[in-house]
Amino acid sequence: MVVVLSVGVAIWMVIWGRAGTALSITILLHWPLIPILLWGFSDNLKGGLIAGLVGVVYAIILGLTGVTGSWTLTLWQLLVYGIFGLYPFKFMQIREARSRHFATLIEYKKGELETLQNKLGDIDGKCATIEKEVRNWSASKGAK
Amino acid sequence: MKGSSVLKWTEKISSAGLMAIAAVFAACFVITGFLSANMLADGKWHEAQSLAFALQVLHLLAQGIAFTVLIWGFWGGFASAAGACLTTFVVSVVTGHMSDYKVERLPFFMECILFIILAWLCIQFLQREMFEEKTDRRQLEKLEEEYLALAIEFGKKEDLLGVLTKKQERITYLESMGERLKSAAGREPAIQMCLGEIVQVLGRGESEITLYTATGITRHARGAEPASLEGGRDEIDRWLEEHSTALLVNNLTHDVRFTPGFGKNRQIMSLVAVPLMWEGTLRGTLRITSIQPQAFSHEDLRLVNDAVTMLLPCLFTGS
Repeated sequence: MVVVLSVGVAIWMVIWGRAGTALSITILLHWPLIPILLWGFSDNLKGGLIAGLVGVVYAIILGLTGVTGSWTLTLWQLLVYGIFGLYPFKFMQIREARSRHFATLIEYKKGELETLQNKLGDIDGKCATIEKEVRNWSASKGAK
Repeated sequence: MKGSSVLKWTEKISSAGLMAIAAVFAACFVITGFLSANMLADGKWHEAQSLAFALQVLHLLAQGIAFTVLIWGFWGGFASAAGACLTTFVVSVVTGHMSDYKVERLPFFMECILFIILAWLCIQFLQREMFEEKTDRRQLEKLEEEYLALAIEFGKKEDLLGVLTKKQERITYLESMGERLKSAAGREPAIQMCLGEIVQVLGRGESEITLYTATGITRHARGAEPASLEGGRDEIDRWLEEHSTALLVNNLTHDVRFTPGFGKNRQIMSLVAVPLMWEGTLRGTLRITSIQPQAFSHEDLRLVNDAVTMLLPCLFTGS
């Protein structure tokens, strides 16, 4: 899904970016943020970092080929790509912490449940044994 | 999206951390603004506009973190995207006025679309996270409910085990008492053994046996010599004779089966009385009494009944 969306955005950028106008520069520079963010969300720190780095290389290429036309602008784009690459990481950290928190709680509760089930099984067995003994005793008394 | 579920996120990041993030973005925002103003002053309008966009991106990030995810959820994302679009428009117009650059509509709309997509992506992630949290929370709640139900069942089983264990102990005790009664030397030692052991097992009350003989009624109290009763049969004897079944009374003063003054005169509140029936005739009674109300249970009644069954052959065989 992420790959398809990224390819879609790339095609969109190629379509709009070929004209060499202010619009095409805007699209070439700003729309890579979408795949960067997507990769970050889908593949955590690794995805965000790789996508951010690809964005940085891409911005440098645009700068070197003269498409951007300004190194100040290129540097700003590097900063923005970097931030967007790391941006989902913070979410993922929170998400993983939450997930771990609940996983621990669920695991603990399951353990408790299992222990209680075992105890209940034991107590059930004891009750059944004693009930049988009592019934036998009552029957033998009745027979007398 | 409710605020209460979003607030749980904020609990995971300290307020100081949030303030630091906000401060960093505010600083970037101001610096970018200054750079833009300087560039405009130098006539570098194109760079200024691009910087202005960078400023919007930072703005969106700051708002995204502060509002979209952590505080306002969907509406935070909506407000931040709208704010970013509006600011882009204002900046574009201002740049246009301050330079000879003519504001074009298409780039502006493209920027707006980009902002909306970015905000939408953040919201999607937030929703996915919240869905997962909700699922986890539901699973935990389900487990807790299951645990609670099991704990209640366990408590009931424990109570049952307690009752059954007590019953088993009493059975063991009765069986051993039966053996001892068989080897008892005579009627009186058997009576004293039975009375003493019943009180010991019950853990409360006083016990006595009244035996009807041809000469009258003899009272055998626990730990005392047998004594003749002058007054003849009392209300309890009469009730047992009439019904030929064991009797459990837990508040003699208010029991309609007996006269109001009977319990008070005897200083009895609770009572277990079992008829000593031998060969179809009432030959006496065994009573356990207490000055406390609600002192005995049906289980106690059953124990006394069983003890009497074991005692009867010792009392009347060969008599």
